[in-house]
Amino acid sequence: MGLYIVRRFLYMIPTVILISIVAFMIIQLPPGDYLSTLVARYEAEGETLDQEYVSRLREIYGLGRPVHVQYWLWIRGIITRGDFGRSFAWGRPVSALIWTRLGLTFVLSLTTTLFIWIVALPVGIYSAIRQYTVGDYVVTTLGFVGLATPNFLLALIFMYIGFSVFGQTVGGLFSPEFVSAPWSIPRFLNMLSHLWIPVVVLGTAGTAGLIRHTRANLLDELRKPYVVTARAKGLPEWKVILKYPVRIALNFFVSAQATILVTLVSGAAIVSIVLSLPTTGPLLLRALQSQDMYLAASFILMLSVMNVLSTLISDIALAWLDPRIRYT
Amino acid sequence: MPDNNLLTVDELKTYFFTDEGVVKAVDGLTLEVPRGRTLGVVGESGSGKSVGARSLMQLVDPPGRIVEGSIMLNRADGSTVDISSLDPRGPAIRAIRGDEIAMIFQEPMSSLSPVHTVGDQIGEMIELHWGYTKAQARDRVLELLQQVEMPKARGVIDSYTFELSGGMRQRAMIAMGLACDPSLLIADEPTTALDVTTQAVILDLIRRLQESFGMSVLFITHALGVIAELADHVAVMYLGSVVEQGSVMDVFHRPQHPYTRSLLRSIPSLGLEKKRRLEAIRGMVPHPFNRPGGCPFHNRCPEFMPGVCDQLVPPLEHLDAGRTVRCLLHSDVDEVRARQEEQAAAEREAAAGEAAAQRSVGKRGGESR
Repeated sequence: MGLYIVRRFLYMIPTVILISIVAFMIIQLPPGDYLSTLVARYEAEGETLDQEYVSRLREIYGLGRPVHVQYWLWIRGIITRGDFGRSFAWGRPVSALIWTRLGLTFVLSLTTTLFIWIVALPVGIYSAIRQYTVGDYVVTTLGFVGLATPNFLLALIFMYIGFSVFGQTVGGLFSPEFVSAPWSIPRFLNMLSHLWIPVVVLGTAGTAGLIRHTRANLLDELRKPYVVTARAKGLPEWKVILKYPVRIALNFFVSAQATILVTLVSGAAIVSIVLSLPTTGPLLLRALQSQDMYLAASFILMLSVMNVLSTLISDIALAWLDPRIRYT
Repeated sequence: MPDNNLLTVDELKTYFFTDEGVVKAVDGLTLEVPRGRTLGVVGESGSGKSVGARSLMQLVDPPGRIVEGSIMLNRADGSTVDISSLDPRGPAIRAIRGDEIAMIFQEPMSSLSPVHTVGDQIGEMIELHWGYTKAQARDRVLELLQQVEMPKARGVIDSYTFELSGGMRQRAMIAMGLACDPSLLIADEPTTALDVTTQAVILDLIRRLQESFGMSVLFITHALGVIAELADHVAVMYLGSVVEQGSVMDVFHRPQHPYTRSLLRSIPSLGLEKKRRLEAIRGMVPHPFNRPGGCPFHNRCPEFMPGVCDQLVPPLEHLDAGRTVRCLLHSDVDEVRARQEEQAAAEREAAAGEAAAQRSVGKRGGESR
């Protein structure tokens, strides 16, 4: 087991290096750079920027150098000094901008994942062991509706409900008085009272999908001979189901987690814009539009690292759950 | 005589109610399992051996269920219980499963959980039925593994099934069957998934364990040779019912049912009669939805009597030496005909009465089938 984790951890290193290269390359792909976008914007407004000023800026930011040199400077700064470069548009270091947003994205993703698990596992089990009963059909129908409804629409509906029924402020993760307040228990509670809307909105599709998958996997397992063996031992039915087929179906449940997180983080952008949440999505979008390259690359890098880490965690959990993985 | 039997199964019927129709997997199973003896149940694929065996523990999955008949178990405390009347999910049948009647399954790989250790899977039965602690159960499991002659028992107890060989898995399965010292061990083709040499070793082990534990064994197989080697009594099944039962020597030397005779003739023999062509039973086992009327074997039977075998259902006849047979060759045909016609008439009358009652109530579209 220890060896497995170490090996799995070592695999991560080349993956992250590759991701950082790809992230940086993608940022370089569109023609031009931040400065040419800036010049274009000024020209659109009928003004001109001093050519010399622009080239001096290009010199300072190192935009004139070859791509691999830029990449090397960027990555060296991250590794040695935790310096992600400067954001052109904000005029501040990237590290000052991304951590709170990454933190909130992390909290939101984690809460949503927990929400998905807590709802999907019992409902999926119920749906499988009561296959083709009224309860199963109700769950299935709700699941399809949940899968088919676009998230932004759900977000609008929930905002309306939150506003008209609970009298909450629309959008954001905090009430106005807490937006710029320092962290405290009331601020945290205030966040929780706002968090349910994005959690439910983001979690609905994932929950519906996971219910369907849990049901399908468990149905397969329920027909396996070892279930009959467990019954033949005289175990009570709940124990037969939970100890054997559910336990084995959990493998799938855990390995599905990695993909769920990816869709959560990428799917969250639209919802975050609609709900104006201070997460990574909206800022990343703006950074990409203005070719704010260090900010965008850093976001993409950190989000990818988050996904790689969650894959690692789900792999370790799988190995812990399933001896067949542990021993090979 | 009935007191010598541990289990008496009478006219057991287990049907599967599928969307395509009713499959009569077990249709009138009558069996006697003697105490401390081995009863071999032999039959072709689809003869209802496995479903019959599972019915004895109420382990038939929906849409299958026991619709008729009785399974009387004489328990160690002298009481008798009819297993067929117990709720398949209730505590009464659960107390019997694993403790009084245990089962060894066909494929030890898929019948054991891949993610639990051998010790855990066997030990939980002992904890459940005997109220042992984990540590006590572990000692017992170790003892059992040694009794089934498991190599390196101390290591195997913490192993997973995928780390074991086929023979070791089946030994683990047998240890599980013996865990609570059952009075009946049902072995459902326990050697089918094993190679021939391992088969012989496992069969030998089961025979020795039967002697040392003194339990009854119900051994299900399609191999007549295995029955001859292992069993004291044999029940021959065809399409969900026992066509012949008796002591192994008696049945094999003086088969009374044409099906048994055909089966015995279809065994290849070494040495003698080399020139003889191997005989096969003509035709195929009928499709479950397409059971022939009358005697289910009549369309394949070499001794078919037209107008008799295709019309009358052969009743169970008791012969000498505790043998039973279900064949019209051994029945008084006129008497059977009279009785069954009378019964059919009574049923028609009852059905007509019911239909009339339904009409008078004014219900539309009563199920006249």
